[in-house]
Amino acid sequence: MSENFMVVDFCSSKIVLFLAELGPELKIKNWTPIPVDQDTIRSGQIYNLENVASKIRKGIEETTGKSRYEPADVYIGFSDPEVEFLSSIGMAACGTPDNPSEITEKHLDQAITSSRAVKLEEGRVIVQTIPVRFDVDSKTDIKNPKGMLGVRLEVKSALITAKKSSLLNFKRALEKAGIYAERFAYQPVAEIFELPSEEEKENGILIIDIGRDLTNYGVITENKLQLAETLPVGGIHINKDLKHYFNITIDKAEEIKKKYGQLTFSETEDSEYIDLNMGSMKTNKIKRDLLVKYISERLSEIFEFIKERLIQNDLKDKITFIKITGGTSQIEGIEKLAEKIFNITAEVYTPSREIEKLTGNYDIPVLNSLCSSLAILLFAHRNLTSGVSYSADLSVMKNVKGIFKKMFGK
Amino acid sequence: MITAYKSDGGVNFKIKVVGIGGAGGNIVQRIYLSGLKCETIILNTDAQALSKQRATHVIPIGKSITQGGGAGADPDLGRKAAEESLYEIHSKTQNADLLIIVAGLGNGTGTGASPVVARYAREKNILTIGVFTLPFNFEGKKDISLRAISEMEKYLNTTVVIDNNMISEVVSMDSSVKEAYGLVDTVVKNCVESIINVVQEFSDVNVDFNDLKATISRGGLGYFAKGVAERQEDVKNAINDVLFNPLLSGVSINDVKGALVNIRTNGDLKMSSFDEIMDQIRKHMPEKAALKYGLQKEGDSSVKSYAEIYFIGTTGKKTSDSIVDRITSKQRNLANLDLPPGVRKNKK
Repeated sequence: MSENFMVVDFCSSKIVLFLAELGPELKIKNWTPIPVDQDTIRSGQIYNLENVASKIRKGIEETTGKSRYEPADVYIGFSDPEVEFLSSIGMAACGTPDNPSEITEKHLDQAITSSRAVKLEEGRVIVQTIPVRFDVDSKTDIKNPKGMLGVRLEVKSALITAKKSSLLNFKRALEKAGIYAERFAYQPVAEIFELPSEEEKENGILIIDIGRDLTNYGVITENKLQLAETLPVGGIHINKDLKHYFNITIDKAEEIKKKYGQLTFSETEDSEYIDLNMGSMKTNKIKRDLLVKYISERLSEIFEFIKERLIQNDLKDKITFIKITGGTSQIEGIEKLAEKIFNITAEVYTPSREIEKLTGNYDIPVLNSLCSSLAILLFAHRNLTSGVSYSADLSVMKNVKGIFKKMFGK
Repeated sequence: MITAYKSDGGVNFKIKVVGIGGAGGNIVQRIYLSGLKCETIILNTDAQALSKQRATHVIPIGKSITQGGGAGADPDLGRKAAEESLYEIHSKTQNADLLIIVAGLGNGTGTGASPVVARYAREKNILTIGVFTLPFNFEGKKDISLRAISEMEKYLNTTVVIDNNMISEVVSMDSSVKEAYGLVDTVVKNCVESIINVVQEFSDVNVDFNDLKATISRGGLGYFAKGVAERQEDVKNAINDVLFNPLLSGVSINDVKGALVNIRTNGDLKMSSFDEIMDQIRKHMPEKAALKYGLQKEGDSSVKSYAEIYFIGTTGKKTSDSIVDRITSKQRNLANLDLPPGVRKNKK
């Protein structure tokens, strides 16, 4: 019988639980989306640990049908504007110039481990290590150096570093719900690996996922991870802007954003008013062109931030396509705005291809807002089945787990 | 490809080394006392510290702003002090063919005044190299240091960054604090010494000022290193010291796009050692990177060692992975995001 693994993805507006079978095919056994408010999770951080733990406990019961459940492996998906993306070079000596030797798994591991030897700011840990490129002696850019003969193996790794305290909060919340997790996956990394096709990854692609209060983005070119970051801004900021300008509530702002939010409004219709149906409220009608303007301003700013980062990292001219996803990507015309700012073809991406990869009897709706969770699920499955993983060094928590084991025999 | 040629030599280029602030001043004093062939200048807002330091020129800056009492860890004060004393800085640094700015970043004078001097040098079209140390993490001043480096990158031809936090990687835990700090000073001094040796010391196979100019004009982060072999059997260790300089932040020899190597010897250097040195350096550099070398065949009476290897490499990277990713991510203007973009624009 195959073992099960679980994915707990902390999104900006929900926690998504997946229970799946660990086999060559990704078979979903069950899944549960758990909505969370901004007092519980904000900017990718847990603000109410008890509430998160209780919601996850309930979600696990719904997903597994049991109050206590111990999957073989658990992946935590997370996003955090304070994550830092670093590059580092590691090396391993394999032989001498006169006697080059075969590069083995051990050498790969040594080189990757040495690439992790970077000085981090206090309180930070490396969450993920992704080998980007291998060089053997003077031969560069080797996809798989294993088995080659050489003197010196080098690896360039992408390191995802995060604040230890934030990660420990995710772990603690899960532990309180009876689940022990060791593995983390940063959402922008999972999305950039799992959402594009192989051809897109080779040609260079930017993925932007605009969630409630966070925007994840990642770049992959020539099949190499180049950038993965998070901005502390998302759809909720559009609501706040509309609240500010139109003197309406956040809920009303969300409603009109969903109903009338669009970026392809033509100039000729600029006299059109939207009736807010707010009875005797002071602002009952708003001009449609102003609504377009304010939404456009916020989204333009997000895209401009990302464009600036691409320029800073010399990536702007290396991407050929943009995919925009996440809950906020459903604003009509968002891809046109992105095309105007980046001067690159863009599309709004719905995760139908990812859902087709899944087997099992559970229907998962094709929603843009599920992109990151599906990407984490696919990423976790890929890593667990290939056996490649470098987990975060959260030694404090390992000790806590030991204590829990002693106390509860768990 | 390795190329070498013999020049006429004998030309003395004006190399001026400016130490800014307390840490920069201490290092430049070491350089002055070691007798390296260069003019040394120390700039500081702290009159008391200056009174104890020795260099070719010791210049108090910002007297009317700080009254000689130091910049109080305020880079803004350090900047104003340098701007106030720009005439004095100009009078001592003018006519330099090469200016080397040395400073410890994180506090007031080094962090604030260095960008002013770097900008001045760029305006005067002086070839300029910056050699800076980053503060320890516990000092909590890394961000302001990185911002200063980021600003100076616009003005400097090459920037060498030495990270104090890496000291623990290279010294044994039994070392005294004095030894550990002394190591950073030594690494900075070695960087400066490498430059001076390349252009001031005449060799049989020579690299000269124009080679240095061509190399450091590639810009970006620099990888400078020195290795000394007292005897023939020490050559491997000396090569390793050149190949792996862990105190340099954000670069390794693998990033170098162009380099100069100068080898000095007491005259005993064997061809096999020379081959080994050049071969190992070449192997560790990217295949297409340019490499020039200088070498004495006859030996130099001032050199006591079997071989001294000086390496000056530049990466051409305007921004280096580990340093600059952090700088730029911190530089993003992400403040007040709760306000609409239009409102923020108007406030500006």
